[in-house]
Amino acid sequence: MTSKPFRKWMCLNCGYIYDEEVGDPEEGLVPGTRWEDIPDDWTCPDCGTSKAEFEMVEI
Amino acid sequence: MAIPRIQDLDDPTFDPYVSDEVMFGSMPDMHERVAEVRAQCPVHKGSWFTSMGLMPTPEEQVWPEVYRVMTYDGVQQVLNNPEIFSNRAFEPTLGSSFGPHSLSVLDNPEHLKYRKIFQKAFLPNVVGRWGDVYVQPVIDELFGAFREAGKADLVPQFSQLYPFRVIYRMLGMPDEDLAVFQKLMLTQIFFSFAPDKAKEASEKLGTYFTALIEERLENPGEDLVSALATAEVDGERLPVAYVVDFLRQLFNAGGDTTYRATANLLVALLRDGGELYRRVRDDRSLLPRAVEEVIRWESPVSSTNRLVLRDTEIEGVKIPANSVVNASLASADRDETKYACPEKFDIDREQRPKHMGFGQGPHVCIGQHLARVEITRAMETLMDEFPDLRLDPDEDEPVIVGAMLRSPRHVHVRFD
Ligand code: HEM
Repeated sequence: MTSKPFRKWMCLNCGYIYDEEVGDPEEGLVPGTRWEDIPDDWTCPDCGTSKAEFEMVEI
Repeated sequence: MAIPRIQDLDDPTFDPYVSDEVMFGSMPDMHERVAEVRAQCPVHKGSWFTSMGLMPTPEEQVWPEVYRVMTYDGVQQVLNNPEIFSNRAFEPTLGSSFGPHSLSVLDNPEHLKYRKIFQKAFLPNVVGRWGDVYVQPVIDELFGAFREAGKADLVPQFSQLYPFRVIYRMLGMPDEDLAVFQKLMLTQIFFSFAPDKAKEASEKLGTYFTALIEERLENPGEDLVSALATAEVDGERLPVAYVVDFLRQLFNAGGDTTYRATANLLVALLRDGGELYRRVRDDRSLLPRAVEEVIRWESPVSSTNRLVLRDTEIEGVKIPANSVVNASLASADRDETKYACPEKFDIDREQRPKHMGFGQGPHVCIGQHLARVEITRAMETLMDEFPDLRLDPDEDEPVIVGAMLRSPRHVHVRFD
């Protein structure tokens, strides 16, 4: 079984990047946490904007 | 329509470069003083600026009750609760320099609406491209000017120049206006010690930018002014006043800070015989860590202000409405309950929690991704071109000074 490649999501209000591969341990998101598994009421750790303001990006 | 010419100050001999000391102080021991206050109390009543021997700032005259927040948790509370801690605190200062529509003065819902438009031009995937187009050519030109000399003072000959030039090129402005332009940009923030000159500079920049925006609306190009002038919010064009105020802010927010952070990093790497410079030169994967650490260790922006909208409490201290809180980013970033040996510049440390050098919350720095690209490019090029760079033994060791925007005045170096 091949697993889905990891993706990156960017906050459009400040540019913070959530990389599924590294997660954000300080925020309680362990490496490998998928975007869809992050609760909808989660907010950007840098600027506080809602999850809906993020977009998937290639960096 | 031709690009307008910029008007110099009525007194063209006025020199804003000698003002750093008056505006921001020249004390080398700010962090020691900050640590003493932090040890006594997490929230300290009274003006930081006057306690450091500087002039009281205009907002302290409007709202005389001032509290200085010293701990990481306290600063985090201030920056992340905009409904209590308002950016109106900047109305008498940055609001008068850059204008009432500048992002630093706005609160929600207006701030959120406009910030996103401006941030779009400075997102990580955009500024990465600017590294090649704008940043690298400026760095190469400036290094080229002293490459053969064997020695240089990297503050006036490099760090103090490059971020301003990068922004200037991004805006597509004519080279011959650069000197006057940089002078006006620096002068417009002298609201404390030369308010008339500050007003004059701000008005002249406003006239210039308004005309430039009109010109770019007629002939849009690839530059940032064209992009902002034609940007839309909710189907409407971004109002000209917002673009003008953003442009007035851009050089100070993006130039004055990045130049100082670069100079501070040079000091951190080259002192003590330059061992860290050589370590990073030989293992470039350490460079991003060094950049992050310098922003924690010596962020050029050592504090920011908010106006308290209703009675509240920080770290158990009651703060009444209509006070100003001065959140000490410099103190938060050296809070010993968060960072081990916080006074040490340590490129091996994990930045956990995240440093506050670029702020946090809704007003977190818009240009942080550009600043990282600029500082990284500058250091990479320096290490490639001057691998044996070292402090000049015949000159004074560089010292980082100031009580607000901190940096060394000189970094004299030699190279073969
Ligand atoms: C090392 C360099 C830099 C440092 C240390 C720095 C620091 C900061 C800090 C601490 C804030 C937040 C202030 C507050 O909360 O009141 C801020 C905001 C801001 N910065 Fe930077 N900055 C840097 C580079 C830049 C660059 C390169 C740009 C421009 C492209 C820029 C543009 C801005 C703007 C426009 C704001 C206001 C954002 C808002 O209020 O929403 N900065 N910066």
